[in-house]
Amino acid sequence: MGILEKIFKWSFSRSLWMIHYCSACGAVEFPPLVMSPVDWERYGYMPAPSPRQSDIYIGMGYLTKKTVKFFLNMYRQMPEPKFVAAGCNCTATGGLYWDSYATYKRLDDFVEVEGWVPGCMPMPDDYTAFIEYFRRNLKEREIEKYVSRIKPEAFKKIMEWEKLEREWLKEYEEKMKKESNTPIQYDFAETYPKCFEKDEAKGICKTSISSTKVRKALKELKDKGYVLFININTIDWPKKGVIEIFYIVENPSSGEQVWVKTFVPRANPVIDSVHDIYPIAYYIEREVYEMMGVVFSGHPNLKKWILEGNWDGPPPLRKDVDTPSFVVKTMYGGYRYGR
Amino acid sequence: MGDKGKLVQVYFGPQHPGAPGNIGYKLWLDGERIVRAEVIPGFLHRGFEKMMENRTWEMSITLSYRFCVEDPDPLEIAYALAVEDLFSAEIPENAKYIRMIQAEFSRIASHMFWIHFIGGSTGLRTPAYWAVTAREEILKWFGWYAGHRVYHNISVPGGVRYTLPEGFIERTLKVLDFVEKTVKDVEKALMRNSIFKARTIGMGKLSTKEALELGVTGPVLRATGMPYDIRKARPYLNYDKVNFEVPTGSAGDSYDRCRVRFQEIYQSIRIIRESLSKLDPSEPFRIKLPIVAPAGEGIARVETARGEYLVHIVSTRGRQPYRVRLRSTSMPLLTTVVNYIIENEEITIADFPVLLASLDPCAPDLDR
Amino acid sequence: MVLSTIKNAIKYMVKKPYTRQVPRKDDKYRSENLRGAHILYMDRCTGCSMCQRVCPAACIDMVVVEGDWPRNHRKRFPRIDHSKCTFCALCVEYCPFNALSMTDATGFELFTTDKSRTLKMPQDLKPIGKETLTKQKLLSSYAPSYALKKFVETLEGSRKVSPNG
Ligand code: SF4
Ligand code: SF4
Ligand code: SF4
Repeated sequence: MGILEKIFKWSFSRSLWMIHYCSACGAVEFPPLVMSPVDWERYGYMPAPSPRQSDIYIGMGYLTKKTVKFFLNMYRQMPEPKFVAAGCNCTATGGLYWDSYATYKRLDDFVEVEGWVPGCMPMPDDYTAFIEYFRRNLKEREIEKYVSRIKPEAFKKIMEWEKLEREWLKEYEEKMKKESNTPIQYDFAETYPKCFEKDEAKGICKTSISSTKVRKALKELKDKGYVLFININTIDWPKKGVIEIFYIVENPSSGEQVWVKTFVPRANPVIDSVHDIYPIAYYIEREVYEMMGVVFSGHPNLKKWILEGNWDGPPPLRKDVDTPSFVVKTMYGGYRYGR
Repeated sequence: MGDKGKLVQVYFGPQHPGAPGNIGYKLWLDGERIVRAEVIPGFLHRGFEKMMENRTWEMSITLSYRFCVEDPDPLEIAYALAVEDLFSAEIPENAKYIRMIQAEFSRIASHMFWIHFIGGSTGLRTPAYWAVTAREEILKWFGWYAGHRVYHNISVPGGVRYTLPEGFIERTLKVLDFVEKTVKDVEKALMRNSIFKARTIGMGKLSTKEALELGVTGPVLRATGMPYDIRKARPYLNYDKVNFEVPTGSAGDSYDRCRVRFQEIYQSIRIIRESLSKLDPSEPFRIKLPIVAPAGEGIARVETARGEYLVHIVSTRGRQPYRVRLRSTSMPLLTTVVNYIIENEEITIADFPVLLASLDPCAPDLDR
Repeated sequence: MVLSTIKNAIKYMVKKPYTRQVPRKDDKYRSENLRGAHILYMDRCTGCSMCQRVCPAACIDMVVVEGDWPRNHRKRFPRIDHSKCTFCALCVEYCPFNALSMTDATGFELFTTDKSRTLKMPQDLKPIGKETLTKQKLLSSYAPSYALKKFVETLEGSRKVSPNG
C-alpha cells in the first residue's frame, strides 16, 4: 500500500459526511447524536445538506415505498465512494411494521449495507459502535471495495411488487361489481337535531341524518358555533353492506362536539363534499377517499394523496381487504414470523 | 403576482434541512415570493389504522404513539384512555398522575425539539444546542423510568406499567430544575435576539376566526388569543385537580407562537411539580382489564403539543378493535394554514422554513 | 439586540461541557429498567407460545431445541429476532412462567455487519448485559395483593414441575 493511499484512507475515514435526510422515526435521535450530548462532529461526521457532497447514508427507520424510490434516486447522485449503514430494526426486517402495506421490509434488497445497528429505536450511543467499526474497517479495505452499490435487481423488484398490487386492485373491483346488487341490511333512524347518544363528561353528542342532508346539517351546525372541523370517521360493515360515516365538528367556546352520523351503501359510496363549508375537509376527504374508497362528489381534486406512490391496491381500510396476509405473502414468502 | 406562465416550480423537501421531517412541498414561485404551495405527503405512511385492527388491545399500545415521534406520550395516553373508556374501567389515581407527568414531560421535550428546529431555521444554532441538552435530560429521565428514551410504553390500558423507582421524586425534581434553568437561558437568548425578532414578528399572522375556520387547535390557535385547551375545556385524567394557566398570545404571528410555547413549558413544569406531590407509592398503579372487550365504542380527547387529538375505537366484542380512527393534529398546520398564509402574505422562499418551524408541524402525524 | 444571546453564550463557555465520552465505559444513561436484548431461562420455559402470540412485531418463532427438558416435553422454545423486535417487553410481561427477562444490552452490543447474527436461537438468549427488566418488576404496579399472588403462583408453578430448578 502506497503512502498516498494510506493518507487518503486515513483522512477519508475521519471526515465522513452523512446525508441530511431524516427519513423516519430514528431521525429523532440524531440531534442528540450530532449535537452536544454525544457530539459526532468530533469524529469528523457531519450532516451535509446535499447528496452531492455526502459520503454516507444512514437508514433511520422504516422504508415506505415512496421513500425507497426517492432514496434510490438520491443515492445515485452521491459521488463514489459511498456507503449505506442501517440503523433501526425496520430497515433490517420490517420490524414492528411487518404487516404494513406501505413499507418495504429490507434495505439490503436495494443496496449493499455496511452495518446494522439494531434497536427500536437505537440510542445515540449505539451508533458509536458502528463508527468505531467503520473507521477501523475503512483503513484496512482495498480501494475498489469503497462502494456500496445499488443492487441490479432493485428496480425490477419494485416493479414486480407494484404489479401485484395493481392486479389485486383489478380483482377487487371485479368482486365489488359482482356484489353491487346485494341488498342493504341496516337499521337507520334519523334523529337530527336530537342526540341519540350523549356523553356529558366528554361533551359529545351523536346525531344521525341521511346522507343527502349532511351538507345542510353541517351548515346549520357551523352557524350555531361548531366552527372547528375535527375529523371524518368511516366504518366499513361488509355484512350490512354499508359504510358508516361520522362527521365530527366542535364548538371551541364550550368544547362540545357533535358527531353527525350517516351512511352510504358499500357498492356505491357517494356523498356530497363539504370542503366549501369547512376548508380542512378538503384534505380529510381526500384521505378518506383513498383509504376507504368513499367518493365525495363536488370535490375538485379527488385524487390519491398519501397513498400516492405507496400503495396501488384496493382501498386498504375496507374490511374485506386483507392487507396483512398480502404483505406476508409477497414480502416474507408466506411466513409471518420470518424475515 | 405574475401570470401563470412566469411562475417557477420548485420542490422543497423531503431531503431539505428546513423541511419538518420527511415531507415535501411543491412551491410555485414568482421571483422570490411563494404564490402557491402544495404539500407532498406519504413519505411516512404506514397505515396505523389498519395495523391496529390486526393486533390485540395490549399489543396496539406499541403502535399507538409512533406517528408523532417528537411528542409520543399524549398519543399513547389517548389510546389507553380510549380502551379504558370502551371497557368502562376506572384507573387508579396514581396512574392518572404518572400519566400527567409523562404527558407534560413529553410536551416539554417536544417544545425543546421545536426550539432546535426553529433555531436551526433562523441560524441561531447556539440556543438550539442548549435546548437539545435539556431535552436529553428528559429523555434520560424517560430511559431511567420507562426503560427507553423515545418510545416509552408507560401507559397501557388499565394504568401505568411501572411503580416508582427509588428516588423518583428527587430525580424528577432535579431534571425539572435543570430544564427550567436551561429554558430560561434559551428564552433570553432566542426571544430577545434582534435577528430572531426580525424574522418572526409580523410573519404568518392568523386571527382567531381564521384559525378556527382552518381547523387549527393547540399553540397556534392559542397564539391568536383564544385560550382553548382540552385540558381545561374537557379535563381528562386529573387536569382539573391541578393548577395551571393556559398561556395565550395576541397577534397570532410567528413570534407569538414562540412565546406561547415557552410559556407552556413553564406551565408544564408547574403541573409536573404538583402531580409529583400527589403520588402515593403504597397505592396500586394499574388494574387488570379483561382480555375480551365488550361491543361498543371508546373515545378519548387529549391535548398534545400540537393541538387536539382524538381517538375513536369501535369494537364488536373481541380481542381486537374493529376499527380505530386517529385524528391528525398536524394536518391543518401543513395544509390549510400554510396555504392561507401564503395567499395573504408575502412569504419568500427564505422565510418558508421559518414559517414551517413556527407552526411546528409533525410530518409523520399527517401521514400516519 | 443580539447582546442577550452573546451574554448567555459567554455564561455557557465557562460551564462544564455536556458532551459524554464515547465509547462510554461509565454507562451513564443505562438504567435498571432499560429494555434491551432478552434472556431466556430455558429451565422455566414450557413452550406455551404465549410470548409468540402477544408479540406485536411477530418476531418470536417457536423452534425445537434438542435436549432434556423436564418442563417442556415438546422441546419448543422461543427464537427471538433482535432485528425485528421493538423491545416493548410485552413478552416478558405476559410470559406465564417468568421465563423471559431483559438486559441492558442495546444496539451497541448487538451491532453487526451480518444481519443473520441477530436472529437469536433459544440457547443463544444468554445474558450479554446486566439483567434489568423482569416480570416481577412489571407486576409490582398492580395492587400489591394481586402482584404478590401472581408472582408466588409463578414460582410455585416452576417448583412443582422442575425439581432441580
Ligand atoms: S425500528 Fe422502531 S424506531 Fe426505528 S423506524 Fe422502526 S418503529 Fe421506528
Ligand atoms: S418464554 Fe414464557 S411465554 Fe414463551 S413459550 Fe416459554 S413459557 Fe411460554
Ligand atoms: S420485546 Fe416486544 S417485540 Fe420484542 S420479542 Fe418481546 S413482545 Fe416481541
